[in-house]
Amino acid sequence: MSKEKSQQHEKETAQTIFDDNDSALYAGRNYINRELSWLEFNSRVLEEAQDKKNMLLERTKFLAIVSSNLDEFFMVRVASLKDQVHVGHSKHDISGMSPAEQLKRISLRVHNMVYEQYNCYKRSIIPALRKEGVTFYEIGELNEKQLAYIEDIFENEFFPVLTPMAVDKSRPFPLILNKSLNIAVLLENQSYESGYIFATVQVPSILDRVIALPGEEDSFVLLEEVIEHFIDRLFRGHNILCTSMYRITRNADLSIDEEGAEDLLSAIEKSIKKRKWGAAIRLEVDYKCDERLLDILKDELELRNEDIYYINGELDLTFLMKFNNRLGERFSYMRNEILAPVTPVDLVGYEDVFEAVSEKDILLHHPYESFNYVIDFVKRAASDPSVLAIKQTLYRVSGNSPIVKALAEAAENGKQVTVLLELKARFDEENNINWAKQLEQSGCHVIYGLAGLKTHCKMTLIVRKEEEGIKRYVHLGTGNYNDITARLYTDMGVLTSNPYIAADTAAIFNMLSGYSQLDMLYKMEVAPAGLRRKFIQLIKNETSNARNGKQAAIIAKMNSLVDDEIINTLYDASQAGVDIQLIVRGICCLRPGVKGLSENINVISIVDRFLEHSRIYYFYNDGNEQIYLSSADWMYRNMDRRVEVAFPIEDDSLIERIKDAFDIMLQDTVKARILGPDGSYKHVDKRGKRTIQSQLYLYEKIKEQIESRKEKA
Amino acid sequence: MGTTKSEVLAAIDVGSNTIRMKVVEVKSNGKLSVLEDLRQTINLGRDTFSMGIIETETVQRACDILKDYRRIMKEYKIKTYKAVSTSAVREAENRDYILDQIKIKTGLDIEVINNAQERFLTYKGISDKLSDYAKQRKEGLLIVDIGSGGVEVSLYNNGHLNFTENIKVGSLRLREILYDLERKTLNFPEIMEAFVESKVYILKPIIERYDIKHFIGLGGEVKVIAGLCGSKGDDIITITKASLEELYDKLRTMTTHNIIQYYRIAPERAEVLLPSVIVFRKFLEATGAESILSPMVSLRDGLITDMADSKLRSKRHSEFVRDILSSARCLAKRYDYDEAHAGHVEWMALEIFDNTTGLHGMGEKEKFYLQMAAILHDIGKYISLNNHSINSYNIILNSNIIGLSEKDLRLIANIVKYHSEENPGIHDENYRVLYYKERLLVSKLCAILKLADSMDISHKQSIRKLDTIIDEDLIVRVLAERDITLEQWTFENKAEFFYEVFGVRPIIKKKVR
Repeated sequence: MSKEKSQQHEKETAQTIFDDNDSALYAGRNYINRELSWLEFNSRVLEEAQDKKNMLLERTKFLAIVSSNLDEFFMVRVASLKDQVHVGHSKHDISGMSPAEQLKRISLRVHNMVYEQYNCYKRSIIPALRKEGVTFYEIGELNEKQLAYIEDIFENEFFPVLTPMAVDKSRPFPLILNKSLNIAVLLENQSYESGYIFATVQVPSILDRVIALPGEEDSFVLLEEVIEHFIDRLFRGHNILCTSMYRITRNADLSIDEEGAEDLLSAIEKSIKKRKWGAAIRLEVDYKCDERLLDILKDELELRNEDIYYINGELDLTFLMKFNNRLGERFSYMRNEILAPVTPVDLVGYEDVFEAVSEKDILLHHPYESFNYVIDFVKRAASDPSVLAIKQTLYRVSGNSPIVKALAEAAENGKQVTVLLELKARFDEENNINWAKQLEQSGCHVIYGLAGLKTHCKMTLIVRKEEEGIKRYVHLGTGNYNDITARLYTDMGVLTSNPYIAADTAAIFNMLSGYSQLDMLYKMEVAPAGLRRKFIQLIKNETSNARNGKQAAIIAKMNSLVDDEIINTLYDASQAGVDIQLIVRGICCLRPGVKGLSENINVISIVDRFLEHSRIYYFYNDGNEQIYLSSADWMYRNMDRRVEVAFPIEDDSLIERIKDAFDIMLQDTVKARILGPDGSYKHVDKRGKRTIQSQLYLYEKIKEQIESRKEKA
Repeated sequence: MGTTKSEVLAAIDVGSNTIRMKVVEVKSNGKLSVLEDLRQTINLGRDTFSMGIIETETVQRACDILKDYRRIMKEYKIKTYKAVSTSAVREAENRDYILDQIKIKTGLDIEVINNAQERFLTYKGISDKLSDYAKQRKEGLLIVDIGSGGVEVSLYNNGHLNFTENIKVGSLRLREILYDLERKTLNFPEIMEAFVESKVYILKPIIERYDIKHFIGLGGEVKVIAGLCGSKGDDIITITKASLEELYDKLRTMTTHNIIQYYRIAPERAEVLLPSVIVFRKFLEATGAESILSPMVSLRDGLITDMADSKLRSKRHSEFVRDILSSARCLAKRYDYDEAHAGHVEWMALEIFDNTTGLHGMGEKEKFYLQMAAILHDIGKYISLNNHSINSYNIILNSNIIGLSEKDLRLIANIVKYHSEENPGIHDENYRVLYYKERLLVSKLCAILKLADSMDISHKQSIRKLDTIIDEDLIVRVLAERDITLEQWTFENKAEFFYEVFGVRPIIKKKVR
């Protein structure tokens, strides 16, 4: 071989070796599939339902959450995978799975999960409730008086609202509503070759699922069983061969053609109407369902065997949520003790929020610290004569939201109120349209955000004319302005009058409202413009510090970790020796603890009474620690398709508080699970460790801090 | 809530590519703090420069943007604002309709300004950015502003504007002229350098006469140059002489294509980069300054400073008026005027003006016009002694005097036109097109100027003292060292017009010593 040739050869070999290395590092096996990872999260929720150490009604609630989570998962995620298969799209995800493979794995995992869920429901929850005097009867168990009662309500209350529908030559298969509970009926009919026809009755969703029985306290029967019991009265003159409960889930992802949608509001209104018509994705049926019924359903709904879930028990356990609340105070002993939200530590000793915020930055850690102070912030602004203007983003608001009320009031008081309402918050669109109209009527300037991007950031800006001139107050948070979820989700927020943050917030509002293009920001980072780049730069900074022999560490808490560019940057950081602690509640596509890849990365997930929701990002930065709070997870959608912000925490006492909170979470031995290299989650090995349930511990700690601040004052 | 002295101001700039608004609070101590800075892209310029008019749709879009800005103004309850538009609207044939539509749809009054006003406003903005601006002006300061059409050079010494000159080597112009050359020669940078040199050589020796310690660079390219020189600073950028030299050495061996690739800058920026560096370098060489300072000032900053000065900081305002007067004197000097005569006429005109306020009822602004007219009234003699006042009129109309609008120039030119033989009258188109009030202003001021000019008709500055008594007549008592028969005689002739305008007859009386 000539010298030249050998060099050429060397080059080529080097190239292939390099390629191999490269693909090895980022091979599919180094990532966890996001759908399967999500299912593991739901399985952790199920664990909470199974955990006998939890209060009985809390367990019941978790059981309902498992169901409603799965509903949404099928309507959105599974639906989208099915769409991909349908159009012949076979692009593999980062873990190397095709859409079809993913569907198969999902089906297997969910079948297993549903089996466990109902096992828990029938063998554990129902008997335990019965022990506490709460009994669900089957019709066969009822006494005469009770039977007479249900017959009476069937005839007088249910019968008028029931619509039986038969399928024959002249009547096509009816539209079965998404998530509705239905009874399938097989009617004898000799004029057909098969000898039968199909009929169906929807169990009306306007009626309560749970019916209280007379004569015995806390005894109940389910609505659908009553209807099924008297089903012959709906088909008089027909011979009923068999019946079965069934429920279907449809593709419900809204895809709006925004391009050319002159009026986003009306486009969304139309699209909500269309949602009913999405393709069927999943069929749940009673496990005793007759083959003939099943075949008809399968054919009509165009479903495959893997899409069918046979349920041994009541379909749709989401009813347990409402039922739980209905049980009332008497059963409080079966619920968690309420951790009443307290006055925020940083506001101890202040009468007026504005006064406090003009002196220092305020950290709010919800739900431990009360969200009412954020509402109060807006309320006070609404009636404060020196306030000139209020701007706020709203993503998901609660029914009867006090924030919406305060904003409307402010507008009526002659203040300039700008509300950035995100209409596209999934499954909330209908709700949002109502708020939009209400706000507009009271004189608020309502804007619907940027086409193609969801406004996910949570910001409030209040402009006040004070003695010394204009002063602007800002609230920035990791969670929505929703007073209901603020009691159930852990979130962090900051109140500040820092002029740089205020200027940035104003600039972002101007961008969102289309008043101005975004140029330079002083402190904050915005997605999709530069948030991912910023995070990557922060991670890379740790990597290069570690390479230079300096201490380097990252602690990041989020709901989901999916973005592969960030994951790869974290793998590189791990390789450089950066100590990486991740607290990821839900999906985590990063595979931790793999030698030569991620041995310096530790991932935990905390699933407890409050839904972990805060997004906090900490970087050691060679001792000059940097902390960002953000509305964004490390997911594509947050980085590319939403308007998100990250804002730095600069006040030393706030930094300390957040670091303390991180310490506590990382020490959780009760509700934390550790993600293993194999993608499974295991409880923490408690041996030799102090028992810490971080959510309870944080609450106690905050109460202590309040006491000590009070003493100081 | 007590009354506060601070005030929130808004400045709107309707430009060729963007409409911008800056909202600034002027604190009671005179300090400024920026509250909002908005920018929306809209191609008004493309319409104007390609079609001569701005299309209705584009105007509609401009109105929408301005409506949004209006909302922001409401948020801060802003009462004082200034909205200006530059060449895109100025040069649009349908500008009157545009301005009217904007006014009706948004309630905003947009003032159309010219280059000189734009530059003047921008300079004003500097004073709020540079804390030792006054000191620099005292110690000798050269401002070089590279615009797209030309380079404006202003020299300050001892706190005064000594001269201001516009050379036609602006970035866009250079690009146009030299575009073809780059493809024809490998030695493009050298040719460019020679070209720039040929344009600045007249100024260089003049600048070198002064001891200049400070150098301010302005214009769109400064930021790019600063970036490439690795200069630091947010509000004020400092580019050292050494780093500029280094950049120059690199650039001169590169083609535009290389520059785009190497520095990753937009092609249109790359094209004007080298010429800009050369211009800065040439002027920097002529001074003793060690670096180029560049405060990031925009037209909006200037508008804000202008509003703040006239509302809250009157001292600074008068400083700028002085600057305009100095630049008028620079202009006059260039036309070789009789400085002593003009100065004398200026003094006497102002004396009469001040002593007859009861008669004419005019204020500071009109006095300023009179003063400008007095300085410039004879510059037409540079062209020809015959009809010199018409020549003066033409020169003024076609001059760029810093800080003056077209209207200002028109009024001053009119006053000057009639300072000599002719009297203003409807038969002259230039006078006829003025508004009624403007015509009155021109006539009144020119009546005064005529008197003042007549009293130094022999250019000997014989009159040493002057006072006036208003009775039935306007008695002007003068103290003279020499025979002033010629002056007296001319005065009596010119008095006729004054009598016509004011209804009072001026009578000159020579005081006996």
